[in-house]
Amino acid sequence: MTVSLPSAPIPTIRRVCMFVVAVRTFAVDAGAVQEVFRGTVTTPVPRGPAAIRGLLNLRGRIVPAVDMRRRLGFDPTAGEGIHVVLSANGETYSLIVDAMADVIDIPMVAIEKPTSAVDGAQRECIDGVYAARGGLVYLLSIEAILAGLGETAAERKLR
Amino acid sequence: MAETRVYGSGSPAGARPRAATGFRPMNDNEEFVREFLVESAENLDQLDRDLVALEENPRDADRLASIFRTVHTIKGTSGFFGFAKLGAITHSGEHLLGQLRDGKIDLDDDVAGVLLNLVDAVRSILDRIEKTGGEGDEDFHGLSQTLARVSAEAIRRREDGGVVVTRLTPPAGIAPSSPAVVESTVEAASPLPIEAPVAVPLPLEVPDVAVAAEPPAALPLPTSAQIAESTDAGPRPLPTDGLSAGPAPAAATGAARAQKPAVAERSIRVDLGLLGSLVDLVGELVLARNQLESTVRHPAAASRDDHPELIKVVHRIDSVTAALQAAAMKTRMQPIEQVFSKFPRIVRDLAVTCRKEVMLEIDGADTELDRSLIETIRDPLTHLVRNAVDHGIESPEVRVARGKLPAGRLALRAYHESGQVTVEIRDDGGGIPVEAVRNKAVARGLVTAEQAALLPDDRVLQFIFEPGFSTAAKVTDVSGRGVGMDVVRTNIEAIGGSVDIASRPGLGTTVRVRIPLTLAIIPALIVSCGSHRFAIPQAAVRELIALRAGATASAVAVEGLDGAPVMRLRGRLLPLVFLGDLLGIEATATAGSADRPAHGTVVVFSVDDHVFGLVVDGVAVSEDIVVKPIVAALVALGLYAGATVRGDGAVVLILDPRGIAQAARVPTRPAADGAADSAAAFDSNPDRYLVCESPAGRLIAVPLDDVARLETFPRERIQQAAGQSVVHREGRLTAIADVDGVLCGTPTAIDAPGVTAVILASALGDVGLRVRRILEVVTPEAPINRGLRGRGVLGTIAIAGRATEVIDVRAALPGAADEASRQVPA
Repeated sequence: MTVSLPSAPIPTIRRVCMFVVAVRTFAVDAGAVQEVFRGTVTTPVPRGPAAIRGLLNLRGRIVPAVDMRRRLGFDPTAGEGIHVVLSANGETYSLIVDAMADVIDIPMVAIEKPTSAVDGAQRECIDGVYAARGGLVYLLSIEAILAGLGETAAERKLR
Repeated sequence: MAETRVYGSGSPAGARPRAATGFRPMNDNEEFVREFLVESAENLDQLDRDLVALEENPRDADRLASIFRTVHTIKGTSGFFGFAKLGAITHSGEHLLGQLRDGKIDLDDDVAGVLLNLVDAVRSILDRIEKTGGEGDEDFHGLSQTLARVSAEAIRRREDGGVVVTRLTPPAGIAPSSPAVVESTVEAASPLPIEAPVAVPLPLEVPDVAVAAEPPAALPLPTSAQIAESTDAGPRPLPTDGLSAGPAPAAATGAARAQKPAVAERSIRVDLGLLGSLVDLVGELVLARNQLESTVRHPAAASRDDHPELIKVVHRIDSVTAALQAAAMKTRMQPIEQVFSKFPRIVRDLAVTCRKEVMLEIDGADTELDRSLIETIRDPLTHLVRNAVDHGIESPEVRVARGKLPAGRLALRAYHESGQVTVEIRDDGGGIPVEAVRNKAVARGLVTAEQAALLPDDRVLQFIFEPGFSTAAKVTDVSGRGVGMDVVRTNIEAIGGSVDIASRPGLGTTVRVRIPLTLAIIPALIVSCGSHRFAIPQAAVRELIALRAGATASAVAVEGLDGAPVMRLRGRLLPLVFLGDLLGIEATATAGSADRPAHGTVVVFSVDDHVFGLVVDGVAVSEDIVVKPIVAALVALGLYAGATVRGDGAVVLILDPRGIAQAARVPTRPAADGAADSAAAFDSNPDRYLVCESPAGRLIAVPLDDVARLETFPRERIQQAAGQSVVHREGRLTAIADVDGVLCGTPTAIDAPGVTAVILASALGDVGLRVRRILEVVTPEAPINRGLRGRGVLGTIAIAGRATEVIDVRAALPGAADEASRQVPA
């Protein structure tokens, strides 16, 4: 942020929705989350990105479900998981997570850069870390999660 | 401009730079400008039609009044928004129209032409306003001056001669008041003689509308003050200078509404996105209804006895849902008039350019189809109409010489037919010279001369849809048809439609375009592959062929030229794509091998230049599906066109046949352009032979080109008729010839339980050669040795060092071919 910019109100607080994937607690901006529901049947997409578990029917809309365990480089489980439906760039996605946690307000100043302990697939998706009372919360960039999917698709196409 | 008719949520007008304007909030003004643009676009289309119709019938006072009102409204509104150029040219145009209306001048080609130019100029300015928010730098002074000059000349002409003959052919049976039928006679016969007037001074019909002439001082270019003066009152609902006494309640909405004022009052503009979500929600409701029904109808449902009323309610919800679904789908429909309305003008201009006379008839303009389709068919239909005028209809001289009326007839007709919309473009021109097309097809290597000779004329005509068929061909010079016809067909087929053409030399050509009613709901096949289900758009499917155990011979899946699996289908090699392999799915379908019988279903696709078979495990059902979009990341895979939700709520992916052809690298069917070589290699290699063993153990070869397919029948199905062995297949009797009998006169008995036959290409008649077994398909290293001919033998080829007789099918089986070519009813 340069000083010359007009004094647009810089948000001092980031409201996030927390969830658990494997052993870590992650969070996305709460504003993007549309709804949360328990596991449902998905239709697999052959040759699709590995992280897309399948398509689900959300009241007539076809929504791809992203297996967050796969996306973040954890071992997949057989569990159906919980769907966190959110939209970005005009498209609706569902993120399959293991468990939901609270919605909390995080002071922007308390958000730190991800440490070097975070690597690989997680590193490209995480844009901040917050030390909550119960442990570290990794803040995810929805755009980064979804952009990674597109690349996977393109790579596959090249093969 | 038509795309401005209905705005989506992101309006182009919203993109204009925001400038400060007095008190009025910019958003309001933008809203008005957008409304103005939409309305004007509609009015301009109507203006085109009205002017062409007026040219036809210059004394149609109502129409003239309507034109005047439209131009006046645009002028008034442009003044309100400060569009000076628009104001200036419409002012000049209004002046000319005023003189026309007041009977001071007559409508001749010059006047009509300049008025049409005015419409174009207005359209171009509006276009610019829509895109940039401003009028642009284009200079329209020339047009204003031309308008003034034409006006002055017309007055002088009137004073000189007082002649008003504008039409040579008085149109009969015109019904200008009917919006569905617009007839127009367009003449190429240039400006009429002015110096030598025919003495028919027509009585001037003063319009019913009481009019007051504009001050003549306004003839030169109006000053901006003048415009401001005449428009400062803003968009007045009623023009005050001339038509105030006229019956003009619809003036505010312009001429487009003048003919059916009721529509304006009964319709509203709705955001497309809103309509889309309405249709989606209704689709959801249909699913919920289905689930409700199955729950209630379930035998275990206790509710049935507990709540007898529930059944009634479910029935009611069922019928209401069905009605709601139909109504929701109808909101997406628009009359094809949106496309047709441009044609009177296009035909008129083209006829003038080509020096032809064309009478355009439009019928069924109120036929409705999905809005998205309207846009897609606009260009193809325009192309066909242009073709008809440019190349179909002859010049007046030629027509008269041929005993026809000098004015050609071009009929456009749209109607519903079995769930589709058919658009017919019929002309009574010279027709397409079939022989020229036939020769061209042969020259291009699309067919052999023999095949071409056998093809019926209507089949030959289909060649003009081949890519690049006549762009560089002589046919163009003769008939002119064909340029871009492949594009027409591609575009129409892309939306699941079809095009066919019929032509009779000297009598004219009819092109029929069939279009589905909607793209949102398409007929599809639900196929299975392993545990997966997929939907396949039926429009691309040509046929289905079962690969069955025991029938391996009839569908020999041989290795293709480069190791890819292919199948021989009616004399052509069909590349096969196994869906399981393509998608990495464990599938049960197989081409068959020594230890595994063939299994699966071949879905034969025809898309673009690709014809190929997609092998799936099975076809479950054929049903109408609602196409729903999928996210870009999945579209990028190139395999799926979308997805659909089935009755049970399950999501099913829709396969994209085009993408599959590309992903599987299906070879392109030989294109028309100099593809004779690849055609030979791929499809009709004359040097490929099917090698079999005759019942007596003799090694024989049959040219692969002569083979249609290989089949196996149980011995019981072979019957004796007229001293021949015949088998009843595909609704006809096929003679089964004994190869040994042909070659050495000693027939062999049928001893095996199954009879394998090489069914010959249909051009050779319904004949099959009985063989003991099929060995292989070979391309011999050395060409056929024709020195070693004999009875029924074409020559010999060496296969693995062994001489093999090549059967001369034609010579060997004259009797059989004659006999069997007569179809025997089942």
